Formats: sequence, structure tokens, C-alpha cells
Amino acid sequence: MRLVMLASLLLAASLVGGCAGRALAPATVMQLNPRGCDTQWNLSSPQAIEMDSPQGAQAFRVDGDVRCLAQSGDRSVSYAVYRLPRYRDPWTLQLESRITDGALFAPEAMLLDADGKMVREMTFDRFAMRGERLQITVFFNDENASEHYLVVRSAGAVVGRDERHVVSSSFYVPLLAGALPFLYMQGTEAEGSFRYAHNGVVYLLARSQAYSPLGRKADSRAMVRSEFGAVPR
Amino acid sequence: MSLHRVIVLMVVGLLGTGCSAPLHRAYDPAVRHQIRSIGLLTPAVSDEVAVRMEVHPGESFGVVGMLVAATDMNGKSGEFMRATRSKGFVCSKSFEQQLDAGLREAGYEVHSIDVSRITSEQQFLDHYPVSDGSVDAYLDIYTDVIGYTAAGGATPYRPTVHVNVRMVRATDHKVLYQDRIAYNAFGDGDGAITLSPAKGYEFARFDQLVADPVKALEGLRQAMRATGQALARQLR
Repeated sequence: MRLVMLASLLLAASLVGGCAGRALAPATVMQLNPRGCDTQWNLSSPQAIEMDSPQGAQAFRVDGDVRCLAQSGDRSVSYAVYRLPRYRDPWTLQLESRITDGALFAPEAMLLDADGKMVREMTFDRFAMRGERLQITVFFNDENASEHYLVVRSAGAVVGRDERHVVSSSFYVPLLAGALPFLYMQGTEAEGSFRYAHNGVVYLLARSQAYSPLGRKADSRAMVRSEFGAVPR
Repeated sequence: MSLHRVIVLMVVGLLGTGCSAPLHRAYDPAVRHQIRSIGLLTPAVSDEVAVRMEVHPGESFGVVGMLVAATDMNGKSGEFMRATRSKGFVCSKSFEQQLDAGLREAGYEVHSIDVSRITSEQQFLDHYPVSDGSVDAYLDIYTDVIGYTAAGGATPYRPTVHVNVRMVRATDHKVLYQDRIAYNAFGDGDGAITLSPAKGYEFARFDQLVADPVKALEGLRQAMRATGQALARQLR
């Protein structure tokens, strides 16, 4: 009896878990109502970007229901604000958006100074698709020391656009031919599409030049040289 | 191709699958302002247009099956080359033209610089020319594959161009940019910039591919153009 109860509880828990998982996936947002949107970037509560996080990339949800900006022509964009780490040495920020459930947050980024004035802008076409990820790397050097905020916004002009996506892969099935085992290999592909959206998850990875994944702060110049430096003659 | 060569190639291929793609080094726009002219070093682009199956059904059946697969693919590549040769298509020339156009679009002054290299080698140069001040950076390119590939036996052949790119500063050969661009990547592209193949140039079977070389070559040119443009976007 106890075993049956335990099994029932486990089954119920797994069903609830599955439902909860599905409930967490928010609907894809293709249109934003300009009413209730900010009329200028609200920089009052930026989220912090952690430098050299041992956990890797930080994931942040961008959602038009949480924060949006009304733009001219009855259009709006969703956005999220981040506080950049204080500048000490050159560093890089990798910003990416990933395809989830057939949708992809269409990112653009701006860097603002402490007064909210835009210093640099990374428009949608600067991002590159790498597999399932749309990605850009932003460099911070001495001349960018005044940059204080990162604003990630949706690229309104491309939201709603469908993009064709061919995904190929392979699978292996272990089989027995008489007494002989062998691996049956097959290459497959699936053709589908994804749609650019106002919402989704962005992943931010801040790395100082001196970052070492082993936890040591290496000499930045030596690090750069060893990875990408002068080619030996 | 001798049996011995096929076996060596297969062993090298198997070992190679364990290696990771070349390192990715993004291009810093701050450097962009210092680079106005690019020396396009002779790219390592083979004039052999490949026809490949990423996972050939024969590979399931041990060494003999792998030999059958390699022979089949070599035969198909040869047949496709013969079908396209009469159309005046020279792979390396077409590739350089598309690349040159993309770089000029991005605002660079482009100079072709001849270097001695084996065009079928799949690696960056070990040594770069000593700068004579005529260019700000050198662009070193090699291709893994140019041709038509199918994921497996039951999937269509699509135009495929996989390019590895490295840009070094002319004066000290410091690497300014390094990347891989895969038009019709297999899997997730292993970190490469991936470009989806155009819809109009897929061939369900090999006999359909060789039966229409004009369309097949147009598909390849489009793939090269898209790859060149993707590179140019990164270097803007």
C-alpha cells in the first residue's frame, strides 16, 4: 500500500513539475501597447552585471510587460537596463539571445553614460547567428570608461519577422547483427522557422582580459598574447 | 585515389572530429578605425567542389562500410566536377571575387597579395609577409568545404561553404579577428557564424544535382556571396 502511495505521489509530483515547467514559458510578445510604456529610458533600477562570474553567463528576462518604451509612430520596444561594472582594465561583454520555443528575442543594445546620454549603439544587424544563438561581443577600453549603463532593447523593425532555420544532426542506434554489435548512424535534419519577438532571455557574460577560468588572475598581456597574440615566426 | 590514401584520410578525419573549431576572436570596433586597407592573402581554396554526406549510411558498417562511403563520395564529387567544369566555374576565382566585393562594401581598400601555399590545406598560414606599409592588415582565409552536402542519405543536398578567417595587423601580426563562417552548417556549427542555406537550391537526390549544373553553381555563388557579406558585416 505504501509503495502504491509513494508511486502515486511521485507520479503526481512529476505531473505538477511538468505543468509548472510549461507554465513558466511565457507567451511570445509580438506587439506592445504603447499605453503605459515609458517615454524615456528609465534608468532607476538597473540590474548588476557581474564581472568574471564563475557561474558563467547571467540570464535575464526581457519582457515588454515589465518595461517598455513608447516610440514615435505608435511603436514601442521592450527594454532592460543593466549597470556596467566599474571600469578598471579592458574587458569584454558577450551578449546573446537564444531561440526558445520557436521565438527569439530580437536584441539591440546601447551604452549610456551616467547622465543617460547614449555613447555607443549596437544595432540588430551587428549581431551574428551562431547556431541557436544571436550574439555580439562588446569591447570596453580606456576610452569607454565613462559608460555606465547597458540598455538592451527589442529591435522593433524586425519583431514579427520569420526566419528560416535548418537544423541538422545525427543519431546512433546500437544494433546486433547476429552476435556482432554495430552502430547504425544516420544524419537527419529538420526545417523550420523562428520568429523574432519583443520578449525572451538575454545572456550576459562579462570577462576581464585577466580572467582565467582556473580562478587565477593571469597577467592580462600574457593572456592575450597566448590566446590570440603574434603568430610565431 | 588509392585505397591507402582513402584509409589515411579516414583516420585523419576521425581524429579531426575530436578537435575543436579555431578560436573565435571578435573584432574590436576601436581597431576598425586603424584598419583602412586589407591585404587579401591568397586564400587556401581548393578548386575541387565537394559533394558530401555528413553521415553516410555506409559508415555504419565498419571499415569496409567507411571505404564504400568514401569511394561513393569521391565518385559523386568527381561526377559533379565534370558536370560543372564546362560552365567555366573556377571555385577559387569565384570565391575571391565574392569576398573582395563584400570587403569593399564594408569600406575597405583591398589588395590581393600572392603567397605560396597549398590551396587544399586547411589551416592558417604559419608566417605572414613582412609589412611594406602598403596595407594595414592581412586577411588569411582557408575553406573546409565548398560544395554540396547532405546531412544523411534521406536529406537533400544543399550548397555549403565553410570558411575560416583570421585578420592580423600588418606591422606585428597580432591577431585582430578570427572566426569561422558556416553556410549550411552541420549541427550547431560549433561556435561558427551560421547561415541558413537559401531555399531555392536544394536537390533531393544526387542525380538531380548533376542534372542541373547551372542552378547548382548559382546556388554555390549565392552561398559564397552570403559568406562574404557575413564576413564583411563582422569587419564593419
